[in-house]
Amino acid sequence: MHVTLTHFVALASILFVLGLINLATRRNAIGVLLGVELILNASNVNLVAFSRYGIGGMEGHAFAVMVIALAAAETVVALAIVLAIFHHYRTVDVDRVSKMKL
Amino acid sequence: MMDALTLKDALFWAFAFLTVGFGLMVTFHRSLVHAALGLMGTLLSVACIYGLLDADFVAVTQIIVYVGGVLILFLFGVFLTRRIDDIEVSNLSVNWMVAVPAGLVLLAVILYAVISSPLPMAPVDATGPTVEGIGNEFLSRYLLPFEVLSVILLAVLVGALMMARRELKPEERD
Repeated sequence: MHVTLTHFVALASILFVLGLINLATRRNAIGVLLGVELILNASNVNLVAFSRYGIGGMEGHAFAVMVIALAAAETVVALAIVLAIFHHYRTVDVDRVSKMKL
Repeated sequence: MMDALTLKDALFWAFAFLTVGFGLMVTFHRSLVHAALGLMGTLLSVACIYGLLDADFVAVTQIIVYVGGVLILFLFGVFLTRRIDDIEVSNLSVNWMVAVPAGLVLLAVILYAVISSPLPMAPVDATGPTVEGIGNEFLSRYLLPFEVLSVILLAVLVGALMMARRELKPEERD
């Protein structure tokens, strides 16, 4: 059976669900960020795959590059926030960090 | 359509299994360092999937930005926040008993929707290098998002510095 668009979209949905389970189960804030990266990668696989199979031309590639850049920016800000939380609370457990302000 | 697997199909299955395997490692490994290394495997496998989809520029960008930049940042984050070996801190919490079945149900729904929807079967003819097309998109129709993205990167640079620096006490200044 030849690989078609369905296979790529199925692969992306598996990645997406893995990232979602990661978001729900990790307690370490950095672990949660790893799940976000999985979800963004799943969306990128979808964008590039649909572009390859003739939907949208080169726009899929352009948006994938944009998503990669935004993911990098998001990671930088999120890790800076995690470091600030760690300096303040001495933990990165998202269950224990419950106050916005002290 | 049931003839022998072509090389491309075999490569797809290999990289798909690698992607999902490393993804399972990211999600379920108890140690956060191993999860981050699993993310590296996932990102590299996804880059290979981009290669199979003739998306050369996206694949190279993925390797440079994600594997070369974001992942190193993650590892620094993991090492800068202590007690990573402490299972109490970095392990999965008890609600995996809810999250995993819910995720599987969601996956079943998505896969059913994907399989039952009429997606195009044949890829369009490969057009060679994609850099020119992407550049044309960014500098014509998507010029404004492109510029906004550069402003966002500048804001992120300043904002991350502001948040991550250590507050100096008044007597520590000058």
